[in-house]
Amino acid sequence: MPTIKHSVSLAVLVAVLAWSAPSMANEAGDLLAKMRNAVHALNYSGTLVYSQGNELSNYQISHTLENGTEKESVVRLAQGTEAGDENVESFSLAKLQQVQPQAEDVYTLDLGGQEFVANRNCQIVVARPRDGMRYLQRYCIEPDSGMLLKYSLVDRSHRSVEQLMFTALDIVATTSDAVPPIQQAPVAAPAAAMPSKDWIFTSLPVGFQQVQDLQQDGVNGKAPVRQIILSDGMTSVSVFIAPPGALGMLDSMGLSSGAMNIYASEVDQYQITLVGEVPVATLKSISDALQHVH
Amino acid sequence: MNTIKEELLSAFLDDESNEFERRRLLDELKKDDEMGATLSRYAFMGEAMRASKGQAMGQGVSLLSRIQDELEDEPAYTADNVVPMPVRANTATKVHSYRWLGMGMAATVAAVAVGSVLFMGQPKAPDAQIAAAIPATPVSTATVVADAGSTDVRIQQVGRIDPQARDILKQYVSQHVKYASTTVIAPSIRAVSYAND
Repeated sequence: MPTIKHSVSLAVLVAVLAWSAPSMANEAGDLLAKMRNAVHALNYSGTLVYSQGNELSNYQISHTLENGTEKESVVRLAQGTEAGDENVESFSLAKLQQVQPQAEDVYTLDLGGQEFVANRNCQIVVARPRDGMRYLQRYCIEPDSGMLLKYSLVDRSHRSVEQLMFTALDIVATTSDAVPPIQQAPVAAPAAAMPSKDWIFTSLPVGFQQVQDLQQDGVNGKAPVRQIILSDGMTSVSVFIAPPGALGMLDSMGLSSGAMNIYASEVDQYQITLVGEVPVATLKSISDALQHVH
Repeated sequence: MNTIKEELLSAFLDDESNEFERRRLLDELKKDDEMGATLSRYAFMGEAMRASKGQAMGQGVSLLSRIQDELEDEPAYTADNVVPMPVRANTATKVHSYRWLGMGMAATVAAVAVGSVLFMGQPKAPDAQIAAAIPATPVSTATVVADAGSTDVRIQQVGRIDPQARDILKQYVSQHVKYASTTVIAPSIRAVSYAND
């Protein structure tokens, strides 16, 4: 009799888990969508800490929405005496784009526990890659407002390669409860090249697909450089192809800064440089798969 | 907030903290909201004091410019100090593979042993309906498998670029940040300098 009871209990447990898993993924997806809208539509100000690799910096951010127009500023609070650069920084979390549908093929969305960040409760949402070709993305979102309080990119060894976290945040209540969807102004892009037929990828890491093919001006009046942009729905890789005779690079090299990696190689005397917020192994895989069709 | 935390904050704001201290500060900030508020207060005070000395508030170094500065700081290329990157890391991959193979076999044996023990304690009736109820776990079908570890090691070994390459890389990073990496949050932080274009 205990055996039957055990089996029934196990069946119920598995059924509950089977029912709750997609439900949690949907909830996580909904929360990400809410966050994407909130960072555009809410009026907020605060300070955040941003860490990239071994560096840590402190920022003051404010964002307002007036008559449908977003105004925002981000200022780095300089530490020590190193300040002196003429750049005044202003960017926005509102540059955040919606997660693309194909991301579901390569990431699983999960709801985590609750945290307390900047004196607010937030719900952890994790976009966990199904393979080692991209970083894990971890968000902590205030459920009521949808505001992002904490974000990190984590590599396979569970090391946070980039992270931002609010240390103080004020959200001003809006007059309307219903937050209207915000239309983002598109970035002015250079001329789009014809879809590349002379350059093909024999294979790509799962989920990555070509989303743009741009023609960029060359450095110092040199020949134009092609920029092919690949995306897996949540993160992107740029493949720069410079023709033979362009300014010289090493045959093969790599650089890393936080989550951003750079990998360079040469194919048919063309200089190939890949830049993206993915592990360098992913860049190398893409580079190896690139072929010049004569 | 205790003295150690205050010292961590103070060292960070004075730009005197090392990597370990910065990581510890970050860990502490996650747990201590009062510390976060103090950090903000100190930072504002520092800004105000610098402003009183004639330096406009908010004059800082953009993250993108710091990436570019790191490129600038790279030692200049000379033919002697270049470490050529091998096209295929055959040896490293094989050693890695055998190591993983051994670890995999050990893990398999352990899993079988644990599984056997659990199985012996389970009811004998087949639970087909239970198996059917378990959601199918999507299997990763990556067509490209790369040895991230060995590549990361190599990337650490190669740090010599010439000034021309620096200029090119600066432009590439800028173009990537501007046109490609708007799908996640952190890259938008890197894009700060473009907001003033």
